[in-house]
Formats: sequence, structure tokens, C-alpha cells
Amino acid sequence: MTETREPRPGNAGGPPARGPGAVRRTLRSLTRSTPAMVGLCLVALHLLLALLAPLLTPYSPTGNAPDDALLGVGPEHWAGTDALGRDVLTRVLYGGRYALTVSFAATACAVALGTVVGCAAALRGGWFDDALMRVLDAVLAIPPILALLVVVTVLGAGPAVIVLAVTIVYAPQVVRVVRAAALGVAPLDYVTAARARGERTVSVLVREVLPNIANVVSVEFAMRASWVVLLISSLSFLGFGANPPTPDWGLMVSENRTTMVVVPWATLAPIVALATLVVGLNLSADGLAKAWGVDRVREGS
Amino acid sequence: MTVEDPRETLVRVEGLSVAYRSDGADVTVVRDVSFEARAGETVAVVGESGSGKSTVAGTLLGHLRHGSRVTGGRVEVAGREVFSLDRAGLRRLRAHDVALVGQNAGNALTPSMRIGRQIEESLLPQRMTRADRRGRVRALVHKVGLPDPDAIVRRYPHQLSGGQQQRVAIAMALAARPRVLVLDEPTTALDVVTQARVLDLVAGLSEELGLTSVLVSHDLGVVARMADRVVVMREGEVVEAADGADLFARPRHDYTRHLLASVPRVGDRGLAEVGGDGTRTVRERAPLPPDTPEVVSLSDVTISYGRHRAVDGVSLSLRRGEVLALVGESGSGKSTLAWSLAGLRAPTEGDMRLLGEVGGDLTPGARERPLPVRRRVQLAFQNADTSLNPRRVVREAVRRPLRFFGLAARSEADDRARDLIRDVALDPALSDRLPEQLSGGQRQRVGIARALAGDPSVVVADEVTTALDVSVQASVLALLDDLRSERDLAFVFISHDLAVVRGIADRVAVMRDGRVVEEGPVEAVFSGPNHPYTRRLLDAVLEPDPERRGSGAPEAPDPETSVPEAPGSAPHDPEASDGHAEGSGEAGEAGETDPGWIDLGGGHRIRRWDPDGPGPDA
Repeated sequence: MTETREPRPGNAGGPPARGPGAVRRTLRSLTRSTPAMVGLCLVALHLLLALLAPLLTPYSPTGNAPDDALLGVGPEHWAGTDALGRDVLTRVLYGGRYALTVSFAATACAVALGTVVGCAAALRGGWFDDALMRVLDAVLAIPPILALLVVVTVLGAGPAVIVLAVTIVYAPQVVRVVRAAALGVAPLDYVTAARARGERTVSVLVREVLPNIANVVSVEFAMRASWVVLLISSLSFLGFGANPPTPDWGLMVSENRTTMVVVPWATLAPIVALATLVVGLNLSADGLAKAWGVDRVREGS
Repeated sequence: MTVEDPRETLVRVEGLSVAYRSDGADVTVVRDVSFEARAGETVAVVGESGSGKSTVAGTLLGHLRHGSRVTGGRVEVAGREVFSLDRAGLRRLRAHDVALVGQNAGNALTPSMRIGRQIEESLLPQRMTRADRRGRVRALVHKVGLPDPDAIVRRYPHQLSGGQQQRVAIAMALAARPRVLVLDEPTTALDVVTQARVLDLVAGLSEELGLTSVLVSHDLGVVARMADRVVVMREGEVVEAADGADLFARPRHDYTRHLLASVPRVGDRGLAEVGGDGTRTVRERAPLPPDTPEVVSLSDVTISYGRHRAVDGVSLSLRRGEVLALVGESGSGKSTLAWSLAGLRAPTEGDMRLLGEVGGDLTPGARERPLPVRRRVQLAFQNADTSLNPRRVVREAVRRPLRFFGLAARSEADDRARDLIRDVALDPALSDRLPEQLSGGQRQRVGIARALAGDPSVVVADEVTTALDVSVQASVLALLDDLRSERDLAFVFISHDLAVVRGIADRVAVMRDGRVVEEGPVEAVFSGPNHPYTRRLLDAVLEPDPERRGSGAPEAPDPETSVPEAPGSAPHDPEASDGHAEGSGEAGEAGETDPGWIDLGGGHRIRRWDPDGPGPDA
């Protein structure tokens, strides 16, 4: 091929040439909206707590201490201990690490795959687009939790499988949203110009289309992330997600609900953590969508 | 201006100022504008984009864009001060006294509602019985010249043509029997021929109903055709106001003079250059030497979409350094042909060749063409808003083809891109800006620089000046002409505006329904004799010269007003039949060249038409 591929100009760090004005506008729009600020703060708080977990607590999240089992709230254990004597607060903090990494990885995979496929469908069009969309319609007809259970049952639990399963379940929905956005960009003249040059679909996608739907993709990411966090926790709660010693919120709720009357905080703490993270992600996604003027497609609530 | 004028003043705008808030500061968009319109008068507000003319039109209906407010002055319509009215008052004003016809009727009509019901809606404030309303709708549809009222009221907007949609919008505006009609660029989205017809309709109705109209337009030709009085606006201020005839004959302000001089005229024998004070000098066109070699030849090119032939057996040739204009209404296939030449859609049949030192087959799409062939044919676009990637600085747009076609090493690509940007008469300092930071004309120049980056021998320019203001259009045309002579570039220049074509083109090909109906050197085509269709296009051109108002609508039957066969089918046009009849005749004698054409010598030829139709000089 005579075609030359070149790196982006070195001076442009991050997304090319959005301009300082646009960044400032986005920030201002975000900071002006109270819900968006609350959402961003919640997410930031979760990130911080998860990162600093080892510094914040002297206990181990998995080490058993039968002597301290089922202690109530006190100065030693702020949220009490569970049936195996593990500090609940410690497990909630470490659980955040698990929830955030797995959800982030899963969401990133789903959004990346969905974006590539969605853009390709929009750019190629024709029979490829038709066939793909019909297949995806069929996939979308299956309830996510059911599909997840099938994948996990076949491949066994574990973070990698969860990531794979979530990708399979959520990519089709991302495809639909991204394809719609890319279809809005594809007929524009600058894309036509690239096509008239005979550029390959990949470079049209990377150079011309993606930068212009980056906002849609980002909002989609934030939105999906909140669903994924919830979904992964439900899986763990059902016993198909994280394996027992792992500090996982869903798993904690499931383990501790039998002793709920004795140590309510062992169940409540992971619930509060989960709820705040999901609400935070949701509010941030809404704030971003408003700041960028993205019409988010509301679907399957 | 005369004090003893007995007519009532229906519209009075006094010292109007409008501003919107941006970043905590007031930005004034309209400053101290005053004008008035007496009963029965048509007042035109003219200006280029950003002059605030549409804002002024909005205030007549008590409408301001979000975030804007009136900072001074008053607007009085039908004796009431618009901005002191409460909600109910404003409703009454809009229901009974003033109506708006917007630019794009296609967007103004609800797609899921039948035409009849939409018109009926605007009658609701008048508390009539249902039967009365139906009758009135029918009368309105008839009045705006739509065919077969009973059938048309049951149609949906998408089943109507652009001109018919605009007629429906006019019917809706008239439904309330307003005294004042505000026309905001009523024909800008329409073809020249359709535009002439809609303007005739509006003029006729205004006279018949004694309407007072405020016409907002950027098109001085339209204004000359319609207006009794003209207000020229620039950057939110009135620079000149005068009687129509007076303004066009003796413009006083430099800006008005400049604006008037920038309008291309059918009579120009070359490109007009406009001095700062509005003087026009016509640049004489140097004829191409007769032995100029061809660069592109098309023979029998046909492009089909399913069974529809968008382009039907077109044969054309283009010589080096020549500007070939493709002219026709929307749907004539001119853009399809041009895009196919640029490699965006392979023709279904026929042959396209690039000739010269690097020759090659142009029939396959861009990706299959060898790189050296591919870069010889480049495309420039109509819409400056979408032709550049909004996320990349404009230098990137020019740099990319340089690198892609291997015409510049990485180290020198930026400099070369800057040079090209300078070549299209832009400040190279602009090359680090984003498209949104440039004006429409500047963006259009960048689009041209991008086309030049491939070092092409042919540039396909698809309506490149249509969306630009007249003064900008003039400078872009001059740029194209310079590039042509400096680089020996050939252009395929697509346009529906014959006056523009006259200035820039060497040869003209008139297309209709996918076929070339007339082809020849520009002088020959403009002096006639012509195909009746070309004649119609020529007659529809409006020039900013009220004396030359002419007959207005061409005498040919109006396809919008003739009786359609069935809902959904194309309106029957008597003249369209000649194309088909002729087509079937030709199919019999495959490979014809002469029998289908009348050769007038000098390369000027006209496709034969139905002898029952109007003659060539009709």
C-alpha cells in the first residue's frame, strides 16, 4: 500500500483540537449543575476510598478472626464485623476496588467493541448494516441477567469471565447508540471528502468520525458503567460472580443477610456503597450529557 | 416619507435594539433600527448573514431567540406595541394581524399531519363551524395555486415538492386573514424556477388582499422583484433605506453599492471584479486556444438507483484549464454525475477517462483508482459548515491529502499546507484555528485548498458559492478563476444559478432529468437560441434591477399548479413528457449522435424536444 499512516500531531495531547473554550464550557456547565457536581463528587470519593483502602484500615479484608465474630458497631470496628470476624468497613473499602476495576474493565470492553462495530455499521451500510442490526435485535431480546448466567455457568466464575459476559450483554446496546450517532456524522462533507480520497474505513473512522462522536461515547460509558456495577453486584449476590473470600458488595449482602438482625451494618454498608456509586455515576452521566448537549437514548430501565 | 400619505402605517419599528447575553456581557445584534410599512406596501430588509435581519423579522411577531431581549426602542404592528402585550394579547396579534412565512416550509410542516388539517389549525382561533373551516381551507388551497384541492388536503407534507410546501405555508399564513405578512427568506431553499413562481404568487396575493409585507432576504434579485421600499442592514444597523427603484438605481451608501455590484449578472461577459467603492470591472475571459487538450471525457455515462436513472447517457468532455458548468434544477442529476466523477459512486454504464500525461480509467470508485489518477480529480463542497471536520484545525484538512497522496514528506507537510492556505488567499495564521472560528467564506477557501492539495487537474466544485453571501461569493469566484489560470486547472462547476455561471464558465451543459438538454460555449448558450428548458432557467433569473423585472414567471405551464395524476406520483409536467417520448425514440436507434440533437455550430448543440412544446425562442 502506498498509504501512509501517521501519528497525531505531537503537540495535541488527548482528544485532538477540542479547543480550550470547549473544555472550559463543559466544566462550567458541569460545575453549575448541582446534581452533576454531587454525582462527580460521589464517584471521586469512591475512587479515592478504593485507592487508599490499605492506608485507611489496619485490618485485612479476607483474614478470619473467629474471636471477633458478629461484633456490633464500636470504636474498634466502625461498622462491626461479620460472621467470620472480618471488619465490615474494610471489606466495603476493598470491595470498592473490586467493583470499580471489574466494572470499569467490563464497561470499557463493551463500549470499545460497541463503538467499533457501531461505527463500522454506520460507515459501511448496506447488507452488512442490515444483517448486523437484525442479529443484534435478536441478542437484545434476551434478558441481560439470563445471558450473563448462561455465560458464567458455562465458563465458570472469575473476573475475566464476568468482563467477557458483560461485554457480550452490553455491546449490542452500545452499538445501537453509537451507530445512530455515527450515522449523523457519516453523510457530512468532510467524511465524504475522506471517502473521495479513497481512505480506508479504519482511518475514516479514527480521523473523521470518532472525534465527532466522542461526547456520545463518553456519556454512553458513564451511563453503562452504572448499569454494569449494578449487574455485577447482582451476579455476586446470586452466587455467580465473585468467589467467597473476595470482598465484593453483592457477595457481602448475600453472606450477611442471615445475620441482618444481629449486625445490620454488615448488610447495610455494602448496600449504601453500591447505591452511592450507582447514583453518582448516573448523575455524572446526566451532567455530561447536558453539558455536551447529547440526547441520551433512554432505554430498558 | 411624505406626510400627506393617507395610508395607515401598519408596521412601525422605532429605534429597536436587541441584545443577547453571552459570558456575562451584552452582545448587541440589532442596534437602533427604524423603519415603517404602510398598508399595502412591501418593505424589504436586506443584509448578509449576521446582519440581524431575521432578528428584526422575529420581533414583528413578538418573537426573540432564547436569551435575547429588547434593550431599546419599540415595535408597533397594527397599532399595538408588540412587546408590551401580555400572552393573550400576543396570541391575538399572531392569530389575527400578523403571520410569518419561514424559510424552510418542509421543516415548518408537521410530517405526520395531513395538509388540510395543518391549514385548518391556523383557522381555529376564528371560531367557525367545521364545515365552514373545511370550505375555507379549500378556498385557501385554491388561492395559493395548488392543484386539485380535494386531493391535496389529504396528502402529507413529504408527498409535496418544495415549492408546493412553500405554497402550503403561505396558505397557512393567509388563513388568519392577517394584515401584515412577514416573509423570512421565503424562497431561499427553492430552485430558481420555483422561486420565480412562488414570488409571483406572493406578489399577486399581496396586491389582491392588500397585504402589508415585510420581506427579509439576502437576495437582492428577489428584493428588486418584490419590494416597494428597501432597508439595507449591516451588522445590526441600518445603513440605507430608500424606495426600491431609487435604491437600485442610485445606491447612496458604499456598502449598498458594494453589495449591488457583487451580484453576478446574466449580462456579464466575464467575472466582475468589485472595487471597494462598488465599481464593477468585468474581467475579460481569455478564450482557450482551440488546440487545448482534453483532460476528462465522459461518454454515455448512466447512473441508476434501482430502476431510476439519475444520470442517463451523458457524454461530455472537459479541456485543460476549462470551466464547464453543469446547470439544472435540483434532481436534474448534476450532482450525482459530479460525485461519480469524483469517485464516490461508480457509474452503472458508460465510460469516464482521465486523459493527459497521467491517463486512466475513472469508471471505478475512488478506492480502486490508482493513487496518481485518484488525486487528479478532487471535490469541493457546497456547504461550508459541514465540509471541514469540526474537531481538527484547518491545517490538518489540507495536510492530510498531502500526506495521503505522498506529495509531501512529514517534515514539510505543515509548511506545504500553510502555503496552500496562502494560495487560496487566506492568512496562514488561520491555519491553526478550528473551523468554527472561521467565517463561511474562509471555510470555503480551506475546502478549496484541500481540493488543491492533491495537485489535481480537475476540481469538481459542487455549488461551492451557493451558500455564501454575495460579496463573499464574488471573491470566491475570483479565486477559482485565478487558480484556473495559474494552475491550468479544469473545473466542473455545478450551479443552479445561471448568472454565476455566466461569469465563470467557458462552457455550459444544461441538465434535466438526468440528461444534457443543451451544451455549448457560454456566449452561445446565453445569446440563444435555446432549448425551452434553458430558456425557462434564464427567464427565472432575478437581477437587482427593478426596471428589468420582466414578466416574472416563465410562460411554460407550472408543474406545481397543474393537475397531478395520483397522490404520491410526480406532478404531471407537460414538458417532461418530451424527454420520455424522445428517450423511447432514441432507444430504438442505439448509439445515435446526430438525430437527437440540433447542432448550431461552434460546439453549441440542443437536444431535440417535442415539437408541440414551445419553440426555442419562446
